[in-house]
Amino acid sequence: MREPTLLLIAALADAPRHGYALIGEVARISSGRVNLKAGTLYGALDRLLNQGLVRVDREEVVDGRARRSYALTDTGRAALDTEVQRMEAIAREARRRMGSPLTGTVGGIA
Amino acid sequence: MTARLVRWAIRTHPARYRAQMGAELEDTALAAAAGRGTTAMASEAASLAAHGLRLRTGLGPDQVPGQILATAAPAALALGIAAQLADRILQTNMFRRALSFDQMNEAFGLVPALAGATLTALALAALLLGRVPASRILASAAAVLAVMAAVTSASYWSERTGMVALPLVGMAGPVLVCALLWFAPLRLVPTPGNRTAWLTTAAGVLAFAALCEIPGSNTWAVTDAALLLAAATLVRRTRRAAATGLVALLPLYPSALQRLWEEPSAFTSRLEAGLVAAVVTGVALAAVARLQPTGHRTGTENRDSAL
Repeated sequence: MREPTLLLIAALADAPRHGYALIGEVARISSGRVNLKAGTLYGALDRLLNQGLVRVDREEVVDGRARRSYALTDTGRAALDTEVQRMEAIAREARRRMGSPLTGTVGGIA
Repeated sequence: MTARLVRWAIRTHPARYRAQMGAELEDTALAAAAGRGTTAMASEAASLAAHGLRLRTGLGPDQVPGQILATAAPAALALGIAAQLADRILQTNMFRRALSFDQMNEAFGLVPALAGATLTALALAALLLGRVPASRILASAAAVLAVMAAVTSASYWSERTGMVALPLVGMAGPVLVCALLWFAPLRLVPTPGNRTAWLTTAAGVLAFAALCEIPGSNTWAVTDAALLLAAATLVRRTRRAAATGLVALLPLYPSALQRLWEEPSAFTSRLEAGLVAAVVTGVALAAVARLQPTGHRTGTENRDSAL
C-alpha cells in the first residue's frame, strides 16, 4: 500500500469526510509532508471505491452544489488494521534492535 | 482566470464522470488552492487534467491498461538505458579510428547521450525506491538531453549527408520512456518490490549484452520478441504479462523500425522466422490454456476484473 493511500484510509478511520477535509486531514496526519492534489485524491478514491475499501457515506447539497462524504467499509477497516499491525511489528523490532547491547558494543568499538 | 483553469481541467474528464463529480472536483480543487497563489491553482488544475486524461484513456490505477503501463515502467527504463549505452558503444567502436572524440561527440552527441543514460539510471533507481516525482523529473531531464544530442548530431549529418533520420530516431526512445512515466499512474500503485528490482536489473544487463554482442539484435531480436509477445496477447492467461512486455520494449521500437524501413531485405528471413515462432507460440499457449481446468480459469477472470 502506497503512503498516500494509507494516509487516506487512516484519515477516514475515525469519521466520514468529504474531499477537501480529506486533503487537510492527510496533511495533518503526515505533519504537512504529504499534500494531496485534487486529481491524486480522486484517483485514489476511485480506486478505493472500486476495491470496496471506501464507500460514499452520504451526499448533501451545500450552496446548491452536491458534496459527498466518504467512509471506510468493513473491508477497508480490516485492510487498515492489517497494515497498521505490520508497521507496528516493524517499529517494535526496530526499537528492540536499537536498544540491544550490540548497538552499544559497536558504538564502543567505533 | 485560475478558477477557469480548474474548470477547463475538469473538461478533460469523461462526460458521465463530470456530470456526477464535476462540482465536487471543482470545489475541492478551489478550496485546496485557496490563498496559495496562482502556482498552487495551476498545480491543482494540472492534477485534475491528468486524472481526467487517465479516466478517458483507461490508464487509471484501477484499470488494466493503467496497471500495465505502471508495471512496465521499470523494465522500459532499464531497456532504455541498455539501448542508449549499447548504441553509443557500437558507434564509438565503429568510428574510433576515423573520428576524434570531438568529432564523434559532434556526430553522435556522445556527451549528452551518456549524461542522459546516467539520468535514466537515476530515474530507474528513484522509481524502484518509490520516489515517483523524482523519477519523472530525472526521466524528463534525460529526454531533454536526448533531444540535445539529436539536435547536435542532426546538424552534423545534415551538413554532410543530408540525412537526419538516424539522430532523430536516437532521441525517440528516451522521449517515449519519459512519456510512459508521466502517463502511467505510478503514484497510485504499490512501489515495486525487490523481485521487480532484480528482474529489471537482469533484463537491462541481458539486453545490454545482447545489443552490444549480437549483430543486428537491435532489429530482429526486438521484432521477434514483439511478435512472440503479440502472439501471447491472444491467449487470455498470458495477455496481461505479454502486453506488459510489449510496453516495456517501447524504447527499442524506434531504432528497430528505422532499420527495417531502411534495409527490409536484410531482415526478411529473420522476420519470417520470428513470425513462424510467434504463430507456434500462440498456438501452443492457446492449447495449454485450453487444457487448464475451467475452475482455475474462472479464478483468473475474477482476479482480472477485480484489479
